[in-house]
This record gives sequence, C-alpha cells and structure tokens, in this order.
Amino acid sequence: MRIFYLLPTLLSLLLLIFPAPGRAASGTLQPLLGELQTAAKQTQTLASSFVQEKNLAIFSEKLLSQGRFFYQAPDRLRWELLTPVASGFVLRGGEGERWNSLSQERTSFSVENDPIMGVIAQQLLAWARVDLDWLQRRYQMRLMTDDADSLRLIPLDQGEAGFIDYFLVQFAPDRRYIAAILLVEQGGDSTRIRFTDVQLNKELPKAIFQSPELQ
Amino acid sequence: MNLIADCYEKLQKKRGWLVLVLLLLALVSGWNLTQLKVEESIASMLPDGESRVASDFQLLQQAPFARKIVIHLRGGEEIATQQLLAATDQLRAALPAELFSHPLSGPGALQSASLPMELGDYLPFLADAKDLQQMAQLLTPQEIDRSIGVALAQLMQPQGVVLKKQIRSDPLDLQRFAQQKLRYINPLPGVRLVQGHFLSRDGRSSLILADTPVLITDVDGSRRLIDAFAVAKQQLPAGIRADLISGHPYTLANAEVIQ
Repeated sequence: MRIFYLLPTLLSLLLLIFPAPGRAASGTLQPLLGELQTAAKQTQTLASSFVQEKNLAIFSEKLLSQGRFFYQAPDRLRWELLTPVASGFVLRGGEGERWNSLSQERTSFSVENDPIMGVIAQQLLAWARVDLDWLQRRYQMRLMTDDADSLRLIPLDQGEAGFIDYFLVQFAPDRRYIAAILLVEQGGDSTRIRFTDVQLNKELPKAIFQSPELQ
Repeated sequence: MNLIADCYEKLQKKRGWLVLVLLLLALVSGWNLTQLKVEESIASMLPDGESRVASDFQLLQQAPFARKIVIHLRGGEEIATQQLLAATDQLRAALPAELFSHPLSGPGALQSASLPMELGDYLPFLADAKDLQQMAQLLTPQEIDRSIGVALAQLMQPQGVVLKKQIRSDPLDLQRFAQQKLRYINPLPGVRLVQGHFLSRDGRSSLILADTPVLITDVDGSRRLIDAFAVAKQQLPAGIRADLISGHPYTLANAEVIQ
C-alpha cells in the first residue's frame, strides 16, 4: 500500500525535475524574441546575398542557386535568383511583379488575387519585421537546446502544415538578422538558405524594388 | 348498435377504469399538442388538389434561386471603398448562420479551390482542334527544354514548395488550355473584384451572396430571416445602406395583406 502514498510525492518530484514544456519554452523564448523584435524595430533596410540548396526527391542532385534579398520597411521586398535562371519577384505593399528570364515573362500580381504570392509575401515580411504576433499565431516555436540562436517552427495552420513539416531558423550571433533557414517539407524534401554579406540600414535605390529589364 | 350497447353494459360497471383511460388519453393528447409545430405557409392559401398554381409553386420552391439571398450594400459619396468593404465584412459576420448559410462577399473560396487544377484532368474532353494544334507546337524538343527550364526556375523560387505537385503532374503546363475555357465566363456581369470583394464599377456598391434553409413559402421563417437581417444591418456605419433581395420579403408582405 505504501506505493500509493509514495506516488504523489514521486509525481511532484518528476514535475519539478522536468517542468511543462510550454512553460520552459516561453521562459527561454521570450528573451530571444524580445531581442529579435528590438533589432527588427531598428532595421529600416536589409540587403543580403544568399545561397540556396534544395534537396528534392525528384532530382538525384542538390539544386544549388544564388541570389539576392532586399527589404525596406514596412512592406517592400525583392527576392531574386541570379543563377542558374535569373528569376524573382518584387513586392511594393500589396502589389508586385515577378519575372523569369528563361520564359522572358514579367507579370504583375497582387497579394489579394494571387493567394500563393500572398502567403509568401506575408511570410517574408513577417520574418523581416519579426512580427511576433503573426508568427506566434502561425507557428509553435521551440528554442533548440543544442543551438541557442536557432528556433524550430512548426506550422499551426492546417493548410501550411499540409506542405511544411517545420522551419529551422538560425539567427546571427548579435540577433540582428536571420543567418540561415532550413525548410523541411512534408515528404522529406528540404531547402536550406544561407544569407551572406548582410547589410543593415544601407540606403537602397528605388529601382531595387522595380522588376528588371529582361534580356 | 349491439357493439355499443355491449360495451356500455360491460363498462358501466368499471367507470373508474374508464375515467382513468380517458384521463390517460387526454394527457397523451395534451402532450402531443405541446409538441405541435405551427407552420405558416403561404402554400396553404393556395387552392387544394392538383391545381396548376400549386404545382407551379412546388416547382418554384425547388428552383436553386429560391434559397438564394442577395444583399446589396450601397455607400454614399462620402464613403471610401475601404469603408464599404469593411462594412460588407462586418455585415457578413453579423448574419446568423442558421438563417444565412455560406455567406460570400467575394470569390475568395472559389479562387483557392482546386477547380483550376482539377480542370486539367478534363483536358481531353475540353481541348478542341485549335488547342491540339497549339499543343503540338509545344511538343518540340526545344519547347520541352524551355518548359522544363521554366518549371525548374519556378521550383527554385519560394512558391516552388506549393507548385511542386502541379509541376510534377503537368511539367509542360498543358492545363492552361483547359483554364482558358473559363476566361469568358463572368457569372456576375458588371462586377469587379477588389481586395477579394464583389464591387460595382462605380465602387459604391458591394454584394453578399448567401443561401438560406428557409422556404420562400414559409411565412414565419421569412419573418425571422428579415428580422435577423434588420438586426444585423443596424451595426452598419452611417452612410451605408443594405437591402435584402430574395423571395422572402414578398412572401411576408403577401401573407400580411391576406391575413
């Protein structure tokens, strides 16, 4: 019978040793999120190069590409691949253009009428601004125990969870920008993007947020 | 007559039981009465039997438009388009779901639906001779290389995560021939789409479309529907009016005149 008396004591001890994950996560997440938000408030522009590695089941080799990313607060973006095929999009508020040098196509879109581009624009802007309200509504966040600068995000939205298993976001040591993103899709395909030559608050010419002339 | 006389003779000695049975019957009838649902249907005012009017009414109730409701919002000159769209969303949210089902203020759900993708499966039925001729031009080695290159570029963009399945199933993007068939369909002439809402050309009117489970012959249901609409539209800001267009207000008006 003694075991029954001991059970509550044992359970209490276990709870003390392994606190509830939610409490632990919020306890350690908040300082990091606070730092990110403070840094984001000071960021008016961001210019960066990036290297992208895609592992897709339909290809036996990694797909490597290089590109550039520009952001200007509050809602301007340019996401551009330079190799192997020059292509990308610019966003100015709710409107934008995308281009593809191979098809020689340049098309306008609005985030209202193009749901896919709407979601992508929302994602990129939320990360660039560190829009915590939006991110916390959309993702379950976990701080990685082996890397204090990395967050694992699991989509809460059913539609997004149908495509994406999780994101792993690694921040720069000074927490002023994202250093790398790993996106793991449902089914195992993955994309890793490493940002390099990141420049903050550099003046960006207006033409950056215009689509380029296709050659 | 013998039966009644026999019953009388047998039961006159058992009056207590008789009263008890009668009381039970009265109780059951009373309970049934409380369960009765009184319906006011304008159909009951029609001539009985197989009259032409009655059969027309039956057919009318089965027509798809009989359960459709259109709500027209109109903003004054001082109302900006953004305010009108916000008021449209506000009114749509305020409509009770048990009377106004599937309210739509724009084609949002339609746009995200899989119809455009699934339409590609019906391409063999939809393609005409001209389409086949154009497709043949896309099947040269050079054009296939180009299409695959474009698909690869799309895969490498952020939208590639979403488009991957579509690219795998249709790398030459032949479903565009099926989608082109929808180009000339305009279910709502004169309506343009602004921020996912139906808006008139002058930008001062918007629409909400809804279904209702209330029959157009149901007077009581029509009254509840119109009362619920009147309550919901009270929340509209000044300068914006809303009108409900369906058969129900006419049903109610007719019934009130007849009564």
